[in-house]
Amino acid sequence: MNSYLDKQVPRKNLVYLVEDDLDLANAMHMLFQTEGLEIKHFEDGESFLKEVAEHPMINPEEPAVCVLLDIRLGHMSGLEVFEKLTKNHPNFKHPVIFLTGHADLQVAVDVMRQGACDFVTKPFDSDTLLEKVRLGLALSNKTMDTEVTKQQLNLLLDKLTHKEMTVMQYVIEGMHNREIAEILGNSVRTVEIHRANVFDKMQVKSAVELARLLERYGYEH
Amino acid sequence: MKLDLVLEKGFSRLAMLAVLMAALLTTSVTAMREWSQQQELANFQILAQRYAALVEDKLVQVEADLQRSSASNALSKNTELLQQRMPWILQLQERDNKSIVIFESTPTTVSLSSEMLALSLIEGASSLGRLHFGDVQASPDGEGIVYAAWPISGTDRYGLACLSISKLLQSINIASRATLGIEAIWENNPTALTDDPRLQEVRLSNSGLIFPLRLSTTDSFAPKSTWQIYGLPLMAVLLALALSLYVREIVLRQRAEAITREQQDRVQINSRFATLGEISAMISHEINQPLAAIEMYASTCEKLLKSGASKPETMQQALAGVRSQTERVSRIIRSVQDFAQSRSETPQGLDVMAVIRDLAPLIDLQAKRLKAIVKVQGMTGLHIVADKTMMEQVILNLVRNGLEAMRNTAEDRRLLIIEVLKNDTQLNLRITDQGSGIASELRDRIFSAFVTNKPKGTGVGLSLCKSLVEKHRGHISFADNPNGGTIFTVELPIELSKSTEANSLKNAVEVAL
Repeated sequence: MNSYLDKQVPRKNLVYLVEDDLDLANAMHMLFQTEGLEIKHFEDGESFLKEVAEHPMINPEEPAVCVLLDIRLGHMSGLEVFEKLTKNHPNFKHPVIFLTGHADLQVAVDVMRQGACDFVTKPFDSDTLLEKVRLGLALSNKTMDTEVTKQQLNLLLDKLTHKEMTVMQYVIEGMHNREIAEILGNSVRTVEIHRANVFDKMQVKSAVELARLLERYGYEH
Repeated sequence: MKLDLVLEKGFSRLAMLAVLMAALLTTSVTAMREWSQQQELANFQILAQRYAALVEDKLVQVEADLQRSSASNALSKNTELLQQRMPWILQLQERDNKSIVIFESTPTTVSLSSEMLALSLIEGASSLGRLHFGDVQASPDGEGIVYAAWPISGTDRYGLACLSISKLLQSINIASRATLGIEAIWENNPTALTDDPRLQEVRLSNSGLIFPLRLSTTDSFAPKSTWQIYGLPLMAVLLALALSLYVREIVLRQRAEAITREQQDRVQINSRFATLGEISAMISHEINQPLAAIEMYASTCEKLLKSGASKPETMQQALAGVRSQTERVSRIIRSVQDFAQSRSETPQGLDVMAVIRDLAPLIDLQAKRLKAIVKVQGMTGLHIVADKTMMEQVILNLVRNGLEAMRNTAEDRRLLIIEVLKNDTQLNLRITDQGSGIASELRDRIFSAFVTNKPKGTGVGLSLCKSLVEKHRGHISFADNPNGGTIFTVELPIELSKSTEANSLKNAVEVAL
């Protein structure tokens, strides 16, 4: 399949670290760099939320993101940051991993219930942390693939005229041109032209490919 | 925080209520006034109907007279008839279905009889609508006066007139002058009339009596201004708003004071009486941070070595990081030690009751939190030799345990009693709660370290108490409270030289609610 939609866009990976302890952030920076992971550090919840507001998630150019959020932050606690994130930025669908102390275990369980991806307790084992971050990034990539393709599919669908849309619906139901022409009261030739246009605009070669594409991204007709 | 919320909610509800009440009050006052005005009008209308009946009788007479004369020229006949009866009538005209009576031009020489006037009014009004006659009153000069009012059809106005029975039309409002078409008569005597178009009441030109019906209130000659309609409610709302702002100011100030007080109390607790659990949580967080960093630096080095990538610079940085973080840990430990040492022992003569009294705000705070009552009773002036901070720790720990044990006790039974008693050469500090008691399997080792009777206890408090009490040559024990709960007793030797003036405390001091 050589459809544009099926191409996996190579995407950058980025770890957002929200941590007020600069020493810890520095150590993590070094570890992640050694492991080839790019890290962006925020000293407080406010600057992190500002970054999120400036980078809406659904954009093929944006990197996949995994957030490491310290539960104990200076001004705004990690919990508050998470609450604001889920409330104000529902489009930010990247996984959030909480960094907690041993004493905050109960809190960590609560945030998991509220939709956090995972948590690690301090002092943590670097390998466990890295593993969780990688899983988080993979999850983010997957979400973004779906989101971005869904978005692009919508862009393609937007190009279709009303007539082409109608024809497309009959095509994916498996009708022949002749049948469609009969229903719509057009000549077979006209339907053929519409069909060709649909394939062209949707960047597919066959009706099967088209149906599969639409089905995969949850297009409802 | 909860208190703040309650206040905030309570306040906004109060403000809303105030505004609502004010609006309601204003509306009802306005309604009341309108109602009374309508009553006034109704009363007047009853009177008017009575006079209308009289006038109608008269009208029937006049009509009968008119019918008797020739029907072909009713108007001229009317004039004739009228001139017969009222010789000063110059002319009677008909214009736009109105009868117009033209009189002699100088009112001073004309004696306008009430009959004639009534007639002319009837003539004018009969084609226009119903005529009402008002009350007959005696004017100051002894004459009878008739007030008349009639609705002017097609408008929301009333024609108004005031007549003296024997002589003159005293005054008339503008609306009625136009409809009656008799304005010319009074041209020479304009003072008898009030020309103000906003005429709201008819005044008698010479007696100054006020026409009894104030029409302005029911249909008005002048439309109500926006201010008249909304002014009063608006004022009320503004007043309510100002009042609520004032109340808010007070509430806020009180709250701020309460918060400051509470904060001060809390700081006091934190700095001096943080439980070991709290201290350990604080310390473990402080130490976990550098530990996590050290682990990551080490892990970085390990990974670099494993991969064979020669990056001495990064390795060096990581190792420097390990060192600085190790220093950070030792710094934390040092500060903990300093903190502990600052509590070094300084024995002194202490009046135990005074110590308890000093602790009252803290005990009070805890009692409030657990909705319990704390009673302090016993003797003042009983002295022991002890370190003050340590004694405070013992008392607070026992009080806190007692209060927390009553968490599941019914609220009206949450009573904690602190007693200071003298037993020969021993001072007995007794703390009695009505809580859940001590589990039987723990009774033998409740004073051992890390044994706890509480769901989230650390098992340090009582063992600390025991060691502190024993350090002061004392003894700590517990017994079951016959009323449910536990009694903890601390025995300490009394410093007799200072305790001679010991008094029994007559009145139990209620520390908290």
